Amino acid sequence: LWQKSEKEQLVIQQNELIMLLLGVGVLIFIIENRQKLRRVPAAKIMISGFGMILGGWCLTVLEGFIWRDFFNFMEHMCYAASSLLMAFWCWKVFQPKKDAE
Amino acid sequence: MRPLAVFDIIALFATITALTILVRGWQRSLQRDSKILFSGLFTLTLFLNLSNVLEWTGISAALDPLEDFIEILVPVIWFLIFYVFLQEMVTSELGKHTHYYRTLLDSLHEDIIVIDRNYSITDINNNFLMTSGLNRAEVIGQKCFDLLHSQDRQCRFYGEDCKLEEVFETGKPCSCRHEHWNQNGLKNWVDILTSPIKNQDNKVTHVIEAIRDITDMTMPEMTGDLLTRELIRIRPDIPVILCTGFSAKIDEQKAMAMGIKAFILKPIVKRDIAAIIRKVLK
Repeated sequence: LWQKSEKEQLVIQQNELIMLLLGVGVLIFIIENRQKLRRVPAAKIMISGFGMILGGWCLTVLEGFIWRDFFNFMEHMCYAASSLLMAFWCWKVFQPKKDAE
Repeated sequence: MRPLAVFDIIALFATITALTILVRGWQRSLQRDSKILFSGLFTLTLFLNLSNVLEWTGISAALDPLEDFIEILVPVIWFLIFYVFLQEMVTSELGKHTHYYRTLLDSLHEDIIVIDRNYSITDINNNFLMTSGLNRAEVIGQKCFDLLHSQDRQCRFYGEDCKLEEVFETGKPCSCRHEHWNQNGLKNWVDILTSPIKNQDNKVTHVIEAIRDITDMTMPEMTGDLLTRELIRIRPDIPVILCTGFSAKIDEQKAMAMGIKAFILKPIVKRDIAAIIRKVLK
């Protein structure tokens, strides 16, 4: 979409920007309905999982402007953190209850 | 192995774990819609994480167009997940409120009827069903004058005092005494407290009636004031004490004007009534 000349040519891809905008839209939806969404089981973990992936989408756009390697590193770290949080959320919500067994 | 590859591998295995837990715990918690959306989200994330891992091996170039498309789908699915959760919250909240108000109505000892502007019964409590011997389907939608009085028109056409119209017009609660027919075809005396149910524009949309059977508490055929008049007509020096719990028709002034010696409102304790009797007999 935009190009920047540095040592190497950096490009922000259109789909990355759309992804970020959609993610920000989801974030606004979460903020608007935060009171009700608090009652989702283990809501903090799930919303943190989304926050991490949204952070990754921000960083993937940012890496098109500056500090490409650093932001790329952070981006992949965010994706890993998001996946771990979602796995933890699944374990919290879907784990078999001891008294039910 | 470069740190980035480590993160991608962690993300890949975490997503596989999440998907496995979700599939194994399919029967537990959450609504079906949420589970389907989470399955979709984890499958797409799994594909993206796998694609990131394969990037390091240099064999994922062919997947790039598909990856671009899937990347846009992910926030959409996140939105759908939060939206479905919100809907579930609203439905669950509504269910809880309905249950609360139903329990509230059913816990009352009076018969409760909710009537709309067309005189149709829109809701009732369990006590009413027990008293009438009818089931809910037989009552809901029926006209109140038809069900309670076996009449084809409103009670006012038969000279009875019906407070429904008054409550709809004034928006204020009021009470009246009516004759109703029970399931055995016997006439009952009931006290009815009529209260308005208003909408957000402060307009009365329904009236809620609390009906209390007072057949065993009220005198048949004759009211207390008529009895007093008759007693005094027969024997003018007889001392009369009027004790009532229902004071809409008679007050202390009217009672005294009729020749009643003492006017007592219920509830009253034994000691007080004894003192009043002594005072009247002196």
